[in-house]
Formats: sequence, C-alpha cells, structure tokens
Amino acid sequence: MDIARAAPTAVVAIVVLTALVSGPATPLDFTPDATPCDGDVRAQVGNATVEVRSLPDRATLTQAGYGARVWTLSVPQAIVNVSDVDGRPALSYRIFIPDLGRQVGSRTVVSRCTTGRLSLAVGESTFDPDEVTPGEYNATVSVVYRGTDGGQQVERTLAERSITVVAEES
Amino acid sequence: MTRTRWRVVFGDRRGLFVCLLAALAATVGWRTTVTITDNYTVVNGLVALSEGHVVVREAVFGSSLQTPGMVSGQGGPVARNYAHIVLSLPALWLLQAIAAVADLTVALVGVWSLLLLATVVVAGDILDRARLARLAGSGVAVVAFVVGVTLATPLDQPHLALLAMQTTAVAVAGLSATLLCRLVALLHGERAGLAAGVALAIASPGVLWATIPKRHVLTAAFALATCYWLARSRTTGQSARRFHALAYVPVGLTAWLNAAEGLVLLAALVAVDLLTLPRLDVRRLALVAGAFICSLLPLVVTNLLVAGDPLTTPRMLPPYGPDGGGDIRFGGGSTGDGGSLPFAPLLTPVAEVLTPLRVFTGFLTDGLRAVVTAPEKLYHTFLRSGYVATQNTGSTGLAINLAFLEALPIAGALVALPVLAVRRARTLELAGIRASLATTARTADAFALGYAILITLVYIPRLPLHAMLTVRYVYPLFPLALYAVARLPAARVAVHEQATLLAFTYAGGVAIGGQLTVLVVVFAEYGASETLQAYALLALGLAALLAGWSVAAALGRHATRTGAVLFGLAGACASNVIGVFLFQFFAESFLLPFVPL
Repeated sequence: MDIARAAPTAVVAIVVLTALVSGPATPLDFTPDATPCDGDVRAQVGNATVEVRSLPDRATLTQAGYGARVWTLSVPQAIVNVSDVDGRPALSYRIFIPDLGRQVGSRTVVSRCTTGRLSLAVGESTFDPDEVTPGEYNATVSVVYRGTDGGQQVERTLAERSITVVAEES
Repeated sequence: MTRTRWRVVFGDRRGLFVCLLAALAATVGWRTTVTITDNYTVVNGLVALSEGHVVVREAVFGSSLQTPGMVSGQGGPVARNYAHIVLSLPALWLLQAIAAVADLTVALVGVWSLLLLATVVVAGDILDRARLARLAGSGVAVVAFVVGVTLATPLDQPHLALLAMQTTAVAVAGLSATLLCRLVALLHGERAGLAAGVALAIASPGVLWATIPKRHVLTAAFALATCYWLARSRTTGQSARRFHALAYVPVGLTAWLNAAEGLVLLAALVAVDLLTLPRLDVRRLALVAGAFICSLLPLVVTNLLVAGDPLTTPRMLPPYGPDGGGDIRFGGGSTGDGGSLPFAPLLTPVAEVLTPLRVFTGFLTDGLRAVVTAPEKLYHTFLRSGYVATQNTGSTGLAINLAFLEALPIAGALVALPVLAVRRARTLELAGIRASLATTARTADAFALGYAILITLVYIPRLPLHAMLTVRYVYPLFPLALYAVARLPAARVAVHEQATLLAFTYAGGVAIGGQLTVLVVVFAEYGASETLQAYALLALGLAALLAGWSVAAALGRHATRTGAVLFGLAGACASNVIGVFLFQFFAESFLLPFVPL
C-alpha cells in the first residue's frame, strides 16, 4: 500500500473519529471548563483581604506618530497584595482626569487562585488629537474594592492618590 | 461529487486551490465575538428566522434589540441584509447537526485541519509534487489537530447564528477568489488567474472581512460573478446565452442584500451590456429578462414579509426604538452602520417604482457633487488616511481606518492604466471602438470600470468614516483592482517569469516583517493606531514604487525581477496590515485554540 495515498484518508478518519468521540453522547470531554477557581460564584460576590502596596505618582500621554496623531494614556501598574479570598470579589483600578473629563479603568476579579502579589493595569485608553494639549494634567488614581459582607454589597476605596499626567509630543 | 460537477464551480484545480486557500487564511483570524455593533442586528435576525419568524423577538446576542440597523417592520423589529441571513440558514443547520454529535470546538479544529490538508494536497497536484504534498499535508494537519484539541476550550456562544453567518461569509470569500481566478484565467490563462486568486485569498482585506458578519464580502462576490458570467457570455460557444442570463442573477441577490448596491450592479451591467452586445435575438432577451425577474423574487418575498410591501426594503423602514439604534462602533455598545444611507425622503409611504430610482440617481448626483466640492474625500478614501476626525463617538482616539491604497498597495501598479490607454487609443480608429469593446476582455474591463465608478459615487459622500478599517463600503473595489492589475501586461510577465521570486519575497515579507512588527509593537509600545499608520506609510511607499515600475514598463522599460520583488513586498505588506488588525487591534476571542500562538 502506498503511504502517500493512504495518509490523507487516515487523517480524515482520525479527525472524524476524535470529533465523534468528543460528542455529547460520550463521557469524554476534551474541553473541560478551565475555571475551577471561580466556582459558581458571580463576580463581586465574596470577600478578601487586600493591601495596596504601591500606586504610581506619574502617568503619561504620548502622541502617536506616522500621522496617527492620537494620544495614548499609559499609567504604571498598581501593586496589591491579596489574601484570604472567599468567592470572587473585584478590584477596580482607575484614573480620573478632570480636565479631560474622562475616567478610565479596569476591573480585576480575584479568586483563591489569584492570591499573593497582583499587578493591576488601567488598560489602553486613547484620546483625539485635539482633546489633549502638551503639558501637565492633575489626576487621581484609585483602587476600589467590591465584594459582599453578610450578603450586603460592600464598596471601599482602598487607596487614592493625586498624580500628574504629563502629555508630551513625540 | 462527480468529476464534472466540481468543475462547474471551480473550473480546475487552481480555482479549487484559491478557494481553499482563501477559506484557510480567513479562518485563522476567526473570532467568536461580535465585531461591530450592527452585527447584533443581523445575527439576532438569523436567530429569529431559524425559529420560523421574521420579527426579532429576543436579543439573544447583545443586551437590547435597539441595535444599529434594526428597523420597525410590520409586527415588530426586523433585521436587514436578508440575503446574508437566509443564505446562512444551511450553515446554521450544518453547525447544529455537528454540535449534536460532536464537541463543536473539536469539530471546527478538525475542519480547519482538514482544510489545511486539502489546500496542501491540491497545491501539490498543481505543482506536480503530489506524493510529497500528501505526506507533508497529512503531517501538518495531524499536528494542527492534536495541538488544537489539546488547547481547546468550550465555545461560549448563546446561539450558533454568529458562527453560521461567519461560515457563509468565509465560503463566499473562498468562491470570490475562485471567481477572480477563473475570470483572469479566461482572459490570460491559468497562471495569471492563479496569481490573482491567491492575491485576493491572502494579500487583500478579504482576509479580514470574511469572518466579520457584514455584507461587503457578499456584495463583492456578486459583482465578481456578474463580471465573470458577462465575460463568458461574450465568448463564442453554445452556452453564451445561458451565461448572459446568469450575469443578471446576482443583481437580484445583491438588491436582497442592500437595495442601493443592487441598483449599482444593475446600472453598471445594463450600461455595459447595451454598449457591448453583439446582437440581440428574442430568445436571448426573454432568457435574460426571465433570469433577472426570478432573481428579484427573494427580495420581493422578503419585503412582503418584512414591510408588507414588495418595494419597501428593510433599509427604507424607520429605525427600531426611540434612539434609532445609536451609533456604530466596535465590540459592544451600539453603532449606526454607515451603510444606512439617507433614506429620509422614503420614510413617507411609497408605492411607486420610480421613487427608489430617483433616490438612486440622487445618490449618484450627491456623489458627483461631493467629488467636485470636496476632493479631500477622495484623497482620504483612496490615498492617505492618517487621523480623520469624524463627529462620532465610536471613533474616539483611533486612527485605524486605512485608505484604499494603504490597504492594497498592489493597486499602485494601476497608475500605468491611463498611460496604456493613451498609447492604445492612438492606434485605434473611432469606428473600431465598438467592435473592440465587444470582445470578452473589453466587456469585463468596461463592467469593472463602470461598477467601480458607480459604487464609489454612491458611497463617497459618506467617506471617510469611522468603523471602516479598510474603506469597507467600497470593498468590491479590492477584487476589481486585482483584476485590473492582472490586465496589465507587465504584471503578467512578472508572474509568468519570476513566480518563484515573487512567492519567496512574499513569504519572506510576511515571516520577517511579521516578526519585526511584533518586536516593534512590544518594545516601542506602539498602539494599534500607530502601527497601522506606520504600515500605511510603508504601503504608500511600496505603491509609489510599483506605480513607477508599471509606468516605466508601459513606456517600454521592463524590469521583471524588480516587479516580482515589488509585488511580493506589496502583498506581504497587505497581509501584515490584516495581521495588525486581527492580532493587535482585535486581539481576542479567536476560534482556533492555537491562534495567536
């Protein structure tokens, strides 16, 4: 038998058989839910001890080159220490720039798999070319905790800091 | 399928190969998420239709039915682009059948691996390396499948409608490559056809749009089908009459998708047909008219079901909800498709046939006025994008909407067309023009040119615009531009004599350029806007070089090797731009578990 002739047929057979075996009628599951840490708890339900280790004192707005001209906000990460997690409480790391009228931030859900030192990022945020003028802007960064305590929603600002956002032309 | 039947669709192995290649390339970037907010409208429309009703009762995708493009039909909210929705029903049933017997992620990884195998095997047959291709193809397919299954995670989909609409668009993108390949092969032989098909399959924005459930890939496929069948109707042979009738079928289908685009196709087709028709007999006229009227049936039936009036298309209906669906943007939120043309005059009940035509001529005059009074629109749409301010919140701080040439630098070679036309015109007598137009090639040329002008005029008043990525409104211009490049004698010589050099330059450009892009993005912290605009400038540079090369060739100074290198680099640039869109700008929710690695 010529291997080259048989090989494609064999591949088709392997794929079809594997797909059928993976089907709902068989006990085999090739795509297990990869989220055993989260349990069945919704985000922002649960509690944890969170200690904010560091917040940045400076962020930057950089103008893109090559004719793109848009401004990208870049905020250094906040470092927190998470312990004693129960459920899935959430941490929000935000920056508010009053003069630009914009608050941006991101939410991180913690679970018992994410204890210890954790870096929080604001996420990418962009501004129109004319929204920003080069110079300095006052801003506030904060880390906000959201969880539950005895069934009640709890929201606490864990740390807050006034910082300077420097906008510089590239 | 019997031997002859697949040839009806694909022509030969080359037609099959470009179809497989296009589908393979497009599915690498397949994302299982809603890309642009008006996707919600059509996907929820398909969910409703699959349950047996036109009215969209539930927002299975998204949080509300007030999405861009959702309109108030008789009985409640209805979607639009029904050609895409109805044509996606078979794909939906197929996916549902697969999901009943297999884990869908595993099955789709398997389908992709088999697609890879088929592409390699067919390529081997074309290159006379059948044995090697079968062995190597089987090897890589098994590796892809095993890696994919190992990394697979469950699909998180509320309904299979989104995947179904993407499947249809991928299949149509594949067939578009086949159509372009066959059209060019008809005029200039298999090798030129193969090159044009491959360019559309892997080095054009088609790779990006094939997995985004929007109408553009279908619009282009219908235009290509008309062009191909019209050209076939001008060849001698018994079936010329049948192809003539076939050329009119995509008109009704396009109108079913988007009425304005259907009129564009009809206008270009009729004008060119009348101009180039050798002779008209009654049987031919009856056959053509019959085919055209039949092609309108799906549109009329849909209009009756949706609006209760055969001449009122979904886009003529008032928006659903108090806000009219809001604004078009990426990801979540809501956004008004720029595709919704200003139909304000039509909001009053209309029953005349002439009103849509008057609106259509209104579009064209608006287009002409825009071109004359605001030529910068043409500049930003076709040449250079940069940051273009729009009044829209969906565009905040982004410079990601590339101009036509920035997305397809290969089109830079078209600068030679006027030069060639002038040289040709000198040797042509006025009386010979009509006879010259009646040839297969000139008929296809005239159609491509007429269609390109009309579709540009219809959309230019609204361009440049946010949420376009690669000026998607005029998306059909991409395959038509590749057709036009294939019509350049110098380009064909480069493909014929330096195919290996071209292929290796392209592969090197993608492999090395892609890695350099990743390094620059990571270490220089470029945002998507900056990366894309840097690539846009590179694309314009390559387009300028190609323009110079092709003008020189048109004037008799040939440099075939240079041309092959430039075509390879321009193609690689276009592919890399698509890579930036997929892996830097969108960068999430990929269907294939091993993408991105």
